[in-house]
Amino acid sequence: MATRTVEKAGVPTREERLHTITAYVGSGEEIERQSNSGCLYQADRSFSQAAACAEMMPLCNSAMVDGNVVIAHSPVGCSGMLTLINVFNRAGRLQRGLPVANVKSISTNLGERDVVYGGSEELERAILEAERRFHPPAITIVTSCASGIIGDDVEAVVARLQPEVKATLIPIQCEGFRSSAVATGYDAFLSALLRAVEKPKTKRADTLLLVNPLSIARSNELEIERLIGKAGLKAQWFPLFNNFDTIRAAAEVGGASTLCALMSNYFFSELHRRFHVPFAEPSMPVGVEFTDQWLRGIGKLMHVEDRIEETIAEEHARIQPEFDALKKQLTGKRAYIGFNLEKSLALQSLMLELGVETVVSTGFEYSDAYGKKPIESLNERSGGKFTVHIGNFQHFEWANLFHRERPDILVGGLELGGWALRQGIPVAPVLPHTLYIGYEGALSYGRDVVKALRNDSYSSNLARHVKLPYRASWFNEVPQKYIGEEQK
Amino acid sequence: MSFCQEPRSTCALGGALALINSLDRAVPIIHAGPGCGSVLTFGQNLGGGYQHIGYASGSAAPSSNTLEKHVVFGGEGRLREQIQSTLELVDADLYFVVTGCTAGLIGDDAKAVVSEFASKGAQQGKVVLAETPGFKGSTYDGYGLAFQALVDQVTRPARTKERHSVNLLGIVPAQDPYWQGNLAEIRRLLERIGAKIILSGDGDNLAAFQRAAKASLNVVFSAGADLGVAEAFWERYQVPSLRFRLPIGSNTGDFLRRVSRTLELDFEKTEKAIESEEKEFWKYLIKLSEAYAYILVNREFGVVADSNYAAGLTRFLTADLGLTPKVVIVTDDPTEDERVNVRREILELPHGLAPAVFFESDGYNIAEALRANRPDILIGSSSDKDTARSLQVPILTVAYPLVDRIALATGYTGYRGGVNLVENLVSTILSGS
Repeated sequence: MATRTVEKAGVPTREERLHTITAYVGSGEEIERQSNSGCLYQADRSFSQAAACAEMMPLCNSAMVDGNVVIAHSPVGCSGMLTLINVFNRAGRLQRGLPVANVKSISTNLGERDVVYGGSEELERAILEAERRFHPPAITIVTSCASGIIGDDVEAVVARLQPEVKATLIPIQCEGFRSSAVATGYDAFLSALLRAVEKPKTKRADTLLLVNPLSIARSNELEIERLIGKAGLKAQWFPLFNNFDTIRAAAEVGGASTLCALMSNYFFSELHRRFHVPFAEPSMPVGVEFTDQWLRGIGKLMHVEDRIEETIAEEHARIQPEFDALKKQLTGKRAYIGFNLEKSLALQSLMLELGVETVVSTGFEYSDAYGKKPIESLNERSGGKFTVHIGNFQHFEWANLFHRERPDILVGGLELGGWALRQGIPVAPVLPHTLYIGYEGALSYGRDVVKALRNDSYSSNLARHVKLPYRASWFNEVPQKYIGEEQK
Repeated sequence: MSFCQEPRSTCALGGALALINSLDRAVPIIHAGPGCGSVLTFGQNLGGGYQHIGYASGSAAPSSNTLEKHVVFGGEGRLREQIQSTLELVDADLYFVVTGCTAGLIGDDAKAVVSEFASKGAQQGKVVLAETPGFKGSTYDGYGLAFQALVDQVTRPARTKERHSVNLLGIVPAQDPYWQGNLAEIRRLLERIGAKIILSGDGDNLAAFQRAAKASLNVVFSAGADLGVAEAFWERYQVPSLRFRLPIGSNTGDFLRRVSRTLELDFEKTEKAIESEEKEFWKYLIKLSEAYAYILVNREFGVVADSNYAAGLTRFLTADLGLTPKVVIVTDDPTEDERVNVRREILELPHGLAPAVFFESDGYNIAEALRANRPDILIGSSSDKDTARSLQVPILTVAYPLVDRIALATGYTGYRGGVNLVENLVSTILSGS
């Protein structure tokens, strides 16, 4: 096998930029200690399973930017997931009063001929046709493993066609093989949108640009608007379910922050570099402690510390009675938490506040940049004996940990939810219609967990009828058995 | 290939995984980029009526997760390691290596790697390979490639045939959201007339594939996926194939008669079964007769589906239900030669009724064709809902992508499927009124 060269294009990977790791099992204490001593390293698995890829992020996310047409420059399967994204997109648009419609997507449908002769001409045709069919404000063009390896020069196609089309052409280079850290795809997606952001004409000093991830229901945005509204601030959400007028004006704000620091990490430094927009990246505002911290971060950024402190005090007093009642019902329960790391750790914080013992937190990737501070906080409050599992999916490790820990409940989403049920564990889902952000979210999600624990009939019956595909011996092994030595 | 708005299929790797998901104790070993297995499972299985199918599907599917270093230095070592660890960890009878775009483009010799395991894997299970990079085609194509791989690498030459035995193939799991219900009804009817099923298309195990050459006949439901498979069965094992589109309603009688004749089954028994089934079928269609005049009469229908459904539905709605075919759009991109057959089968209709027939996979062009040929009722996929709404036409969704209904046991084939279809179609009209 001859060595081949792959042209470096697009954003730096998370592994290069943040030493992100995607294979780890250890306790909360251990990961903090290893991080402090600089011996947290990326390793390979000798057995691995289907995961998410970085290419999915720009595809799925840019499909949900209002008005955008997404072109998957790929064989037809890469955009296969957009069928499901359509469901989220329709629901998200309905929640925000936008006309409900399918995602606007075109696949260049690369075939055997294209991978030999190149797919640039087909891409040109797709771009021109997207313009003719939709007259969109923007067209995102997402590359794939196939287009990357055959070396299609997407930037050149865009440069050639941009004068001919009204839509802002936004190439996003993020081949699936580029990075095992899915968040590299967020970086590629969000920073590519900067191509559309214009030099600010005015400044709206009281407005905060807030990055909203896919899993955020409108109810969560409303909770944030309510809270920062008390301090006289307005939210400009970015970029999902927002149109290109707001994206172009993204730099006109007084500051920028995020509901998912894992997602927005690279984007803010780029936004700052180009437009000097100040930013803060507090952890996801889930549960009382993390919401307090998040609001304080915003208060400092926007110079409204006093009013934020008043809000925090008001809110604490307001929710205390119901929060205590929920805690009474949940104390002593054991939870497994599984999302991307940012969301897992934030929900873990809420679970601890509700008296729940958090036995495992799975995160799809870890970096000190967004993981260290929340881990320290959780260790301090819980003793740090919980298991931290880092893996880009890797069901066999979840299954091992489910079996080992026998949690009462899974706090999870689409990725782990079905698998927990099939192993007899009820699920309190966090999905794109769940309210879980802020103080209202803490109460609402607490109620969800109480409800989810009421009747485990389906999951317990289901588990008796499901045979997992692993040999029985796997459940006597340690979950990290297939994680190897430091990657060279 | 030409670009496509809102595609109605995934890629060749997706089709291979769809076949593997239908097998008993079979595990895929995906040699591809990290996202392929998940994208295809989320998109295909959930996008095909929210079904969790497969012994080790989705995030439980072993995958080598090709990264840049493998693209640069080759991924054969990683594949070898992954097969080895899968054999150790996963408890299966069939280990099915399927390759994606990365392996196909960087030129990994997956065949050589898999052959190292083919000999020694005897007590651990059988290791097979299908090369199915996404760029090789659609879900249908990939299903065909993977099926052929099983025929080539698993099926054993048969000295004798099992009398009256058939293999069912061609219905692609999840790409046909109602695959299980459709196959169950076909199986029920074939067994009723005395046929024995070797490959049923649902839950087949390694042993069934090993003895598949003992079949006297393949019954192929064809939406283009089958061509190579039928050929391989004939050339290697002299198993002939009969091809059908989905038989629905009274059309099922012709289907059963042809199979019965070819298999030399007891013809009297076949006729008796058909008579009894038709009686039962009409028992329910008589129930419809009071509502018919109010709800269905004079309806001009449209169909947007693959060739299996397009021909089957058009025939049923016209010849059994007395509706008028207005427009039929075939979405699975058959070859030029095959289009002639599909068109002919769609147009085999009573009273010289003839819908406009299009072969179109592109979502925009499909919507345009529907606007130019507006039906009164539409059967299509969830992708057609916005068009139907803008035309104020009620729509029953049965085709991929299917995200506004769940598909578990329901089927639309045979006599029971015909009744299901009438129930669902009329309910769709009523629930919108």
